[in-house]
Amino acid sequence: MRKVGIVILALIVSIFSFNGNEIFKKDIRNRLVIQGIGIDVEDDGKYSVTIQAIDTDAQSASSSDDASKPPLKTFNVKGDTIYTAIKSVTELEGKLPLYSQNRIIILGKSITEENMDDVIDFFVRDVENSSSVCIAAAEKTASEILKAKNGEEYISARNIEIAINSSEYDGRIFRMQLYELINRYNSSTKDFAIPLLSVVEKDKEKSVEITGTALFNNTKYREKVSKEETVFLNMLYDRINNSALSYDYEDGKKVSLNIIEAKTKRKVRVENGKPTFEILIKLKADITEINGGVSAKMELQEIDKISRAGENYIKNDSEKLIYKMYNGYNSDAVGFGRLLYIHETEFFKENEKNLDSVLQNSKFEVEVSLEIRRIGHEFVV
Amino acid sequence: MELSKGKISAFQFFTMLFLSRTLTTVTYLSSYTENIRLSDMLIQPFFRIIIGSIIMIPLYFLYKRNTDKNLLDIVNSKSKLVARGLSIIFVLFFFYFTVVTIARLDLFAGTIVFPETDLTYILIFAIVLCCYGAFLGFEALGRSSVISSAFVIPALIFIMITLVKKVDFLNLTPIFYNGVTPVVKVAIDSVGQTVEYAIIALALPRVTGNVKKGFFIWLISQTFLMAVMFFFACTVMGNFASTQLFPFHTLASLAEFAMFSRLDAIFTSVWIMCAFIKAGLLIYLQSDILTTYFGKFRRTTFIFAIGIITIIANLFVSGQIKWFNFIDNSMIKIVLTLITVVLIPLLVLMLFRKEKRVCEKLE
Amino acid sequence: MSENWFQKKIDEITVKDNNSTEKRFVDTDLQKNVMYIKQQFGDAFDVKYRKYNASGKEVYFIMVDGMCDSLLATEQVILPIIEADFSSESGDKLIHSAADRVSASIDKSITNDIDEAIREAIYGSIIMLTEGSHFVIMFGVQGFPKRAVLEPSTEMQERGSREAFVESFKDNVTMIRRRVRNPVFKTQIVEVGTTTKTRACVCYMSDRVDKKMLENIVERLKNSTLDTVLGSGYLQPFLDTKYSSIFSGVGFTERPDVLTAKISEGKICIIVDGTPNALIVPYLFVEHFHSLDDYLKRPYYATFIRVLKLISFLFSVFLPGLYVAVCTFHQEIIPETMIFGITGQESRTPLPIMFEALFIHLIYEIVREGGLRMPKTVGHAISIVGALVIGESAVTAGILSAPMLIVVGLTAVSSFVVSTLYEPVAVLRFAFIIVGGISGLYGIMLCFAAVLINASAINPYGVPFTSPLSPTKIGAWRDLIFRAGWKNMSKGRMQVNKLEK
Repeated sequence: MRKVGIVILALIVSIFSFNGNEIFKKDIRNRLVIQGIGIDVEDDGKYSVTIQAIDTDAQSASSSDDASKPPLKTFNVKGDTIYTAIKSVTELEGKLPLYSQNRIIILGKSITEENMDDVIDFFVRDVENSSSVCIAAAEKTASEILKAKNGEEYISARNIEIAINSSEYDGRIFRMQLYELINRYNSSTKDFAIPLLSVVEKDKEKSVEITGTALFNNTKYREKVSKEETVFLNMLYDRINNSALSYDYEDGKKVSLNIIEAKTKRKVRVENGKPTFEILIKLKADITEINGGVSAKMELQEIDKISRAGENYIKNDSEKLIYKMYNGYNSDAVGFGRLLYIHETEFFKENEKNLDSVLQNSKFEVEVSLEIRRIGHEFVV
Repeated sequence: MELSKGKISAFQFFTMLFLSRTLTTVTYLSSYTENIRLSDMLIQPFFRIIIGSIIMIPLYFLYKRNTDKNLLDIVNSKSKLVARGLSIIFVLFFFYFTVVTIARLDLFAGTIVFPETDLTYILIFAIVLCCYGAFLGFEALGRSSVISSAFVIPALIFIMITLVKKVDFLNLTPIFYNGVTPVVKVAIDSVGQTVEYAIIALALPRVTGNVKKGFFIWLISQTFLMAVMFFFACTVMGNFASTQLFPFHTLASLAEFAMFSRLDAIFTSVWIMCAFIKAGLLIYLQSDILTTYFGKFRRTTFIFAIGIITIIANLFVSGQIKWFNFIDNSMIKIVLTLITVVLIPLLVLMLFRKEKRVCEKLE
Repeated sequence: MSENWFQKKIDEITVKDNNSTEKRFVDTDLQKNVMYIKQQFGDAFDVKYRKYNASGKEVYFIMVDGMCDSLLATEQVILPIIEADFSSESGDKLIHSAADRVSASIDKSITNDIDEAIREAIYGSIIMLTEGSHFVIMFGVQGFPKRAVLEPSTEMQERGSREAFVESFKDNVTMIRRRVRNPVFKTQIVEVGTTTKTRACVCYMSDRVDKKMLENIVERLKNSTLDTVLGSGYLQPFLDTKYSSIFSGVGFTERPDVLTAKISEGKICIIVDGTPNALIVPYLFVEHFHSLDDYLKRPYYATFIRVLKLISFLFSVFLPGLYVAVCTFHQEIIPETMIFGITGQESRTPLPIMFEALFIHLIYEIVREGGLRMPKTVGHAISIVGALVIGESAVTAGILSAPMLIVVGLTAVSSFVVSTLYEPVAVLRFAFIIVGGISGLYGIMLCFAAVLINASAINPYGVPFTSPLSPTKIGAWRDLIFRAGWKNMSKGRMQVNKLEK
């Protein structure tokens, strides 16, 4: 027992002699809980990092304990690297930054149009940073997004992340997490898509909105697609779960659907040295609204009509988007190149270096099957 | 030391080896497989089964003749001097693996858990506790392994289940993209990292029950675990896996369950649990060999000495990535495994055969 | 060197017991015997010496007042003897004849060891000596005050019997006899404590007990080097594993029905005179989660309660340590909805989280200990002070955080669910707080592994403490956490020595 005592004593002595109070510096009281990080590049080539964090002092002082809406503060720091910039927050705040609760990384236009490599490396290397953090691009600067105020309060990074995560229910948003980005980053095409953010001011009230999806080619920003087009981007990528869709199915008649189930099957075959991609989009949807003349009793033929019109609508717009992506922006954001790599490995090996032109000259056959499940609270004849 | 010479059941023994091997799987470092595509890693474990079975053949024949003696005891019955020499080789082999096990834990702790803290006390703390485990003996280690596995296996399954949602088959790569050779190389490399074969060589006589069945279940289960882990690493993370130092830890950090979004803590627990069992077992075996063949001192004294040397060795490696890369060298491991598991049993078998021939001639 | 120094310091303040077992025989000279007894008792006011003349033969009755039932002694022992005709008998013959004169309902035994006679007299027997005899006769007429059989105070059961053990071991054995109407229930008396000469009654069922285990236990009891034995807890270390362990392979119960259940599984129980608690060996870890009520209620509910107990046990050991570890090193685990609240609350407090946890748990233990030792009438004051001072004021004053109080509250309640494990749990909790505070989850897991292996090493009688989890005995899992119904369980009874290895 005495020996055990001596060992415990020796350990305690060694702990405090090696670390002293260091171990307590990392406890939650001494951490700056970061909610969002925005990165821009200044004209002088230095990184400008905007950090949105929880204002613990204000939270402690406030009598309200509303944990769901903590007071926020922002810091703008500069440095040669992102690490040196972020490190200087400690000087300002006297607390160690805690990255693990960071909800979003916003990349300014100056970053997305020029060089993302160094930015990404920091977040991959840092152990505290979550691999599943959301990535978004700013139409202008990241700083503008994180510093945007609605009245007296900052628009929280957490709310922006929640909006991006709503992609599960809204196909108009394309979500990208850090680990997915790196995965695409290290693929042969290095093409990907990330949501695009912008500050919108209406009636003197500011808000941060997702304005569409930014398409990247070889890690550089190429063009933006609208939120409506993003639905088809998600469909082509087999990333759609639940979304709203509206289109004209007859002259003057517009239908709105709620997509309940979606599955995209993608195949590739090489014929005469030219790849053909078969894309079969299968959707199940409910009718939620029909504009342009209420019909008290809906006929079954009308449902077929809606279904066929929907299939055509999705097919046409998807094909348009594919053309736009490959021929307009040269971006393989939906990963058809990857499909070629998996299923037509030999062909891929031969054409790896000129993959962009191969994809541009490829044939894309889109087929859509739209099944209407329910029509809402309306009688069918 | 009433526990030191006790026997344990095949179930306890192979559970202990399963945890020990699980540690090697979960602490898998990306640096080992630079030239292999991710999906090939899914195939690689099945090559392991074949290679793992083949290298055990000499030991199988050896134990077929001598069921109640371990490799060193068999040699000891012929030549005490040679047995002593071999015992030193085994002790050094186990010592090397102990240092590597702790060094990996240290690298993990230093990189992931405490990047800004001096790890000396944590290192000492871990080794002291492993020595304590070794002191309590083979039976206690065996028993605690079974209970630990009741935490470890469900924890791993839980992590995998939470990752199912994130599986993307588009992340798979073509199989044998660079041919079969790299896959076989990685499989050999993986077998070389398996100290458990040498443990079997020494501890098997102290195991009761159906050992053959136990061995194959162990071999298949750890291969299956490996394949499943690689499957999730490939399909969830894709190329991101190769950018991470400890890909399986990163994989666990992606797991989400309800409002808990970082399940890597569970993974860390699995890792530490397995490391404790493995290091404890290795230290125990070293002390047991030394007590048997150099029995001037008590087992406790040997454990104390091994603990001190392990601390010194690990302090030397701790925080030095260059030294870590040097000692965690797969070539060293393969050579050592081949010597202890294949070469020595083979030589002993040949010696037996020669003796048999001489006897037959004399007759 | 240090050991010698430490031993010397111990020797300075201790006296070695004289364990001389030299027997002193009864002398044929009555006066010599009486003188010896008087010498042993000195001026003890409660020792009564009565000299009578039985058919012209001088006889001495010696008894300790208060320990004997005086009426019983007079009517059933003294009167029949002095009124009997012993004219033709003397010496040893008289002693044996006297035994026949006394009613059969009175315990009687004859010895030639005078010290044994003295011990019996102390324990409420009336002893009789006569001239020319080599023997002393002892009549069991105990009548010392004893507590009535009351309800159990620590092992409360909803549906079980309301009887608990008392201090008198004979009454305790009687309570078991009433439950086992079968001669397989056996008892064996072992005297422990060189000064107190306390009687330990080893109880078992002869048809199912492991004989080697029984011998081992009796041997250990005999070899216990104790001077005084004032409770069964004194004997626990002598029956336990030889390794230092935070858990014990020896259990205890205050319920005769529980004891009966244990011996029916082939276990051995030791009832120590003067203690209302019996020891049970071997005792397994899982048994801490079992209670008699489990067997009296429906199996699904029993299983549910056991799961609850297991969760409570884990909470009570790990929760504070985990909270400290997570808040100090692994903030990433905290769900985002909780981190805001915790950060806000914790940043108001002056102490590092580890010290805050140690402080509040220390206070909790003080309050608990105070409440336990305080007279019952003022005991509730403790809870008021505890709740008001610690709960309300400390949080308002910013000394403690509310999440920490929730943790301590949950821990405190959980720790009483498995009350038999309170001792290890209380100590482990502090250990895990410290380890969690200095090395996070890493240290907690390492310590957990060490505790696990420590528990796995407990194996004093060949039945490991961790059985039937490990060594895995699937058959015994019908009554582990899950409890099978009686129809299933009645197909064969569990025998503890089958859980070996």
